[in-house]
Amino acid sequence: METLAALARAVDEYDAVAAAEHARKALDEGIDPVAAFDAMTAAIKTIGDDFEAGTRWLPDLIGAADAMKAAAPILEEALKARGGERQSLGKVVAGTVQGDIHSIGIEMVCTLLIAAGFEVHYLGIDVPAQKFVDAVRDTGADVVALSALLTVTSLEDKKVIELLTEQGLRDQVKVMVGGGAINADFAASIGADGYEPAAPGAVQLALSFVGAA
Amino acid sequence: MQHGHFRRFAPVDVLSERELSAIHQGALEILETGGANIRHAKTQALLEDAGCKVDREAGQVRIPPALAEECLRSVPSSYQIVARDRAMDVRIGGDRVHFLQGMGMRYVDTETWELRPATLREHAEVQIVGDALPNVHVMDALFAFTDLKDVPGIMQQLEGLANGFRYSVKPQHYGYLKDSDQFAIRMAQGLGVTLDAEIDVAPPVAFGDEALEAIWRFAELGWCVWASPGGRAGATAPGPLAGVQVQSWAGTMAFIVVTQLINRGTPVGLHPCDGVVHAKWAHGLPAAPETWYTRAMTNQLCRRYGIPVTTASGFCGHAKMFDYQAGMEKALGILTSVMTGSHLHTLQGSFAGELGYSNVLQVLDEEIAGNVGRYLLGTPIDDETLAVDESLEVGTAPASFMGRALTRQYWVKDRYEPLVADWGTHVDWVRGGKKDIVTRAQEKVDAILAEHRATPLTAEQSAHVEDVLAEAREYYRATGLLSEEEWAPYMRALEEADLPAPLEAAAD
Repeated sequence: METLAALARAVDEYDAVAAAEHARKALDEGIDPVAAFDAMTAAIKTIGDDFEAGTRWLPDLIGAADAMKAAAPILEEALKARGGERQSLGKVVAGTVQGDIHSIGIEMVCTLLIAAGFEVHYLGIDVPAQKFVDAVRDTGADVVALSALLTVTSLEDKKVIELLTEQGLRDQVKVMVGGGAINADFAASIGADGYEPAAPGAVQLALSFVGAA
Repeated sequence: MQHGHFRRFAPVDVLSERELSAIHQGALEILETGGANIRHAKTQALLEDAGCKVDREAGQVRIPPALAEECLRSVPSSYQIVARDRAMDVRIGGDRVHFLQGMGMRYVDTETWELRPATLREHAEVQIVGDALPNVHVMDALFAFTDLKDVPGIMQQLEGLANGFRYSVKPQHYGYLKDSDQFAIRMAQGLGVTLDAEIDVAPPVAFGDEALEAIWRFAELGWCVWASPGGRAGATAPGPLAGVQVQSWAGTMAFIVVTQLINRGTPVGLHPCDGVVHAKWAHGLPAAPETWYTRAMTNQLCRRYGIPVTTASGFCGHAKMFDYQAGMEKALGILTSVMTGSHLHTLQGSFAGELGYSNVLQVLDEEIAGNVGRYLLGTPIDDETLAVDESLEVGTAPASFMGRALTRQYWVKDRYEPLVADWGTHVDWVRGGKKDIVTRAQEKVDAILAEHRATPLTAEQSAHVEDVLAEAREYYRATGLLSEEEWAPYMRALEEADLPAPLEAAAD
């Protein structure tokens, strides 16, 4: 329990090195990787709550997420070795569309989604449309979250939705879009299932998609 | 101590050293050749003893340049005001900028934008809000609502000051009116605080007997007095702005000579009310660019001679609603003033050329003060803030600095968060009911009134304040300045004031 508390504290203190160390230590002590994930998720949820309350800020969220990212592969590997799987509210594929290299907003969304209990597959920035589609197919995602800050790249959102439709995946996944260039009218016009201007709202939208709102 | 805002960078100069000298020399010539108009016998004698040429009949006092310059040198470059809570003391001067609560005559109705006399309760609520706002460093209780319903004019400043002491622990500013300052001083002394007093220099270069009586009283205590010259270009001062400056500086130096001869080392601040007037309506224009520039010249002059300066550029503006014009006039006036070196800036709540005062505007102006304060703070330049190593470590795009410890550190200590300005998304604004800033400020006022009360006066302090007020009432009744017709409605207004209760009692 002491190690799990230390792991949570490392996330809370944005300490990626300590998070990785305590993840390894937890495994050495025979702690279930799922329990270790839960400890980190609880820590990041607290930070998410503080963020919504206005007592912590974007860099806190990202710092905590970075700490969690440092520990997650260690725990994932152990989990796979045991043939286990984490329970989550749903799977989300997320990224910034091709031609756009803005990452802050979508990373914040990912952090809050993880905090809310989703399994998030973050594809990064400048992601080709087909790569989103492939990830949806490979992971069996429930939600795909597309970010586009630039007006010129927002049409990539439409391309992803068209490819999902063409490849027979559109009915199995909800598409939410966001970013500075997007508004609700645009989202509706390209056939997206939802739009939110800010990260906390995006989490609520994702929760509604999986019936957990 | 309330340290106010530190101005990291050097103030902006608007005049050359030669131009400053020309203004100073012009003022010395006016004082030596034309003199100041002073009819107050005790002051005339004081000045004559110090070497001035006094024409008692004409009331003209010609001041030798050497005396003026000697007295100028003995004014301290900063001074402290003692507050009821010593943690709220302020020291005015140096590279620090503080804000003084604004002033106004009547209550502003934000539904109709009409002005009406304020109640004593509304006055008290202004003190509560001012006490709660971190950028109101000095209170101006006597001047918030100088038209209090059913309170006789002669008692308004003292009733205002009493409310200020009841509902705020911050330092208080005062003025003078028919000897009322003697009661204000007694009230303050009983509470262990000091006041700084704003005293008019009647332009061009004249001093009323009342003003001089007040100067004597405050200077003998060594409390700060502000010279408030109010020459207006083309009316009570020459048309050119430089001529206004010469007139104001002459009045200020005469004021300084009197204070320093009464009590060497008495702090003196300059609170210029000069500027330009409208060419059609002839009223003063506190938010005209020419007035801002006049203040900038004054600020530089005061810096040159080490005199604390309190300015009011744009503080009350000319707008008739809390609209774009109101914000523009205040923000530009204040920024141009603090950038050029003012120390204490009149700001929060004043409206429509001092005709109105508003708690809502007090909160809106607090936002301006917060923004300006952050701007003045600037940023340090050192190895940590240049962050070259940090940049090299993070690398090039798509790398991000967002999750870095240095970012978190500076995000907290380096960023201004608005009080009522909406920096959120357009969508959130629509979802939130499309509230404008006036609505948000009203909500803030309501929240403060529901949640904030300063430490109340003790029973003994409260009794002292009431005793001084009672004494003043009787004094002014006896002198006829408080009439019998005024007395009955005044007493009724006090009885029915319904002043805000302490929070515990309010909760009951």
